[in-house]
Amino acid sequence: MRCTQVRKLLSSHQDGALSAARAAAVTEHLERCAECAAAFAELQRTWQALGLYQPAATAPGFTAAVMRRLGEKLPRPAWQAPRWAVAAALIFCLVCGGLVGHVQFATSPVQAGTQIALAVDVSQQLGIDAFGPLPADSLSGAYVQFTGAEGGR
Amino acid sequence: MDDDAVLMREAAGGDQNAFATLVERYRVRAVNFAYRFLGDHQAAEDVAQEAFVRAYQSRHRYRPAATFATWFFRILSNLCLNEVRRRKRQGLVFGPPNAATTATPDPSASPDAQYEQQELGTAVRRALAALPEKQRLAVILQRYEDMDYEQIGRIIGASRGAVDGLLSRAKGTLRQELSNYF
Repeated sequence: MRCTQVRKLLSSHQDGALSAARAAAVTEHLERCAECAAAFAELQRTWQALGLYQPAATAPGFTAAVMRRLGEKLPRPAWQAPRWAVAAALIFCLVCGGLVGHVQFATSPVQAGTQIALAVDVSQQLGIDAFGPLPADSLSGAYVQFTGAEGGR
Repeated sequence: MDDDAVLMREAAGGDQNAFATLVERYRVRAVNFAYRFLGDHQAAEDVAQEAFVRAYQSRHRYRPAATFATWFFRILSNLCLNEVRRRKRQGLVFGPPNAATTATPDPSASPDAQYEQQELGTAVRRALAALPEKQRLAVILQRYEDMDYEQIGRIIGASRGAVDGLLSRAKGTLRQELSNYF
């Protein structure tokens, strides 16, 4: 194993995260390479020095404070409505939608005929031939001919 | 099923005493972990408490396939990251490293040696605080919580190879930062 390869593996070697074969190869290299051995020793000293970072003691009453808070509910984000409000809003929308649909479509045949006449009139005024026969050489015309769907017109 | 998982199952069944046992068992590790990551004792206590509360509220989602420690430290790590980001957004910074929170110097050592040890302790804290967040999490979990790469990966949401890379880079930086003290 070369020094460059070994240097890359020193961290994993220190953590015991290498396979047995690789760990053995690194150990063997460290035994005969003073520079890599020095680098590894410095890494070990650094890791050991981290042990000097000792936090202060936990405040008394920590567990009691946690247990007191267990009954509390998480604060609800401002954008998140309660479930009952979401359900109520949904029902309201459904009822309103039903009422509007009933008023719109439950009209008499005379009113329906008037609406169709108005639509034809508007399309003619705008110069749109929305209600005329489809051109036979168009794709839509061919489709209508093929399916016979234009029978009603 | 290990002992912690049994306690969590009892907690999920509504036994708060079982959860209190878990809190008591993990509170020092939780506060120390948060303290080493955040560098502020009060913030560490608050975040650790919050982590236990969240763990309790999510107790029905815990599956014994993961150890309680891994599952809990994932919650705690996320809260620590949130706290750092919240402070950044608000333009708040944690206080400077405090020498009083490093290990007590060996009383049998000479005054010079004691002073050097305190200096090194402060430098360690500074160097750790300067690491990128994920590297810092990986170092704390490996060095102080003695977790392996798989566990660390599950906690911080990274592959084993990524954890290897994070630790390798972090150690390189720490080695460089602390080389004057050796």
